[in-house]
Amino acid sequence: MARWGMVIDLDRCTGCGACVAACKVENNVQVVSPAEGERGRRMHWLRLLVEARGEYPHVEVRIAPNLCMMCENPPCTKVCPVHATYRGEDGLVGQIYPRCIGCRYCMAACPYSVKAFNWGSPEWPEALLSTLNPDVSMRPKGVVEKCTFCYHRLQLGREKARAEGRPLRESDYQPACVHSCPADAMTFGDLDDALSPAAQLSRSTRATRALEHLGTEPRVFYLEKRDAPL
Amino acid sequence: MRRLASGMAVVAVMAAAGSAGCAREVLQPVAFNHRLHADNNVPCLTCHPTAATGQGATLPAVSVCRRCHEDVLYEAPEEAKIRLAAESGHALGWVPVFALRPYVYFSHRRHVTLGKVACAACHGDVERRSTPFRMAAGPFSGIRGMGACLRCHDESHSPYAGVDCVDCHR
Repeated sequence: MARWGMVIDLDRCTGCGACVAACKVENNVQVVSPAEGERGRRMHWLRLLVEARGEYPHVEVRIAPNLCMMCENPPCTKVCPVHATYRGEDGLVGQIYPRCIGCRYCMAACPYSVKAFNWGSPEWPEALLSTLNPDVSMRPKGVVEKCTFCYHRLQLGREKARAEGRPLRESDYQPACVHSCPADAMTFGDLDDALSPAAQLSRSTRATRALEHLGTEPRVFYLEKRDAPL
Repeated sequence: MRRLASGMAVVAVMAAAGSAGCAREVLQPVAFNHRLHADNNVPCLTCHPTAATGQGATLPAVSVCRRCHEDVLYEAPEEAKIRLAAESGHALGWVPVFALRPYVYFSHRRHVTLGKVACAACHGDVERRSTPFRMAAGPFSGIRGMGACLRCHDESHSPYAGVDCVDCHR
């Protein structure tokens, strides 16, 4: 079985935010009011972490997309009292909303802070209702949600491959963020397939993983920026 | 397996709690006779074609009925209702009798076309029914709950019928 993973090249990422927008639209992620946002209730499955180093005019801005790391050893699944978050057959960390009781233990346990809590019921402007993705549920108030690596796309990919009587190809399954990245900064694929570009990049000397010392074994790799003269 | 059993227990409790008092008796616009159609070799997919191609099976529009009932086949008042609806431009207004909870994702195409699962496996012996359904769609009405799903998903051990929770609940 494929070991799906992602490699994000921080040298290529321009911080345009296309991945953030694509993720929101693809997964029906709630848009909260500015007032709620100020209270720390912004809803994102994928966000950009921005860090500025140095002093003007020698400033270096580092931007890193932050999403569920799909850890091989996830801390969140170990603390969930109702098995609402778990590692599935594909090794992807799933979140089953009807089972979630909203205790938020998983949010506290996640060292990457990539889970979001639904403080309110989903409300959508009339104009946006037609843009909702029917393949993804609307999460109710009181549950925790997170990135799924667009699992529904994996299902659709499998379905297509089966209908065509062939094995699943990497091109059949690409999460929305990867699909939308105009700079090709994100590469997705089977980390166990030696021929996969994602697997090859994950073995690059520039490859690193966030908070690796915690032993969570994330499946999201970052390619460090090459040193460039300021 | 412990995870699956725990999940089943939670879902079963929720289904039991949600189904109480939700079903209501209704009158279908036409006293449709499934048996009569099946005996005349009209397969399910003739009237519910999206069951083969889409997520939902959907109920037939008047235009679908008119493919066969353009002319008078029977001097029956029920058939006259179809012609009347077509002439007036109004929908027949079928009342759905099968519905899944919003947290269950089910693709008819995946099961009917790819999995070759017979309609009766989930819907029961509908083609032997000569009277219309009387109970409107409630939670899992007509569908035998997650236990029925697991008969294929757990016991068949098919690579295509997994038991990963997120396959159906997401």
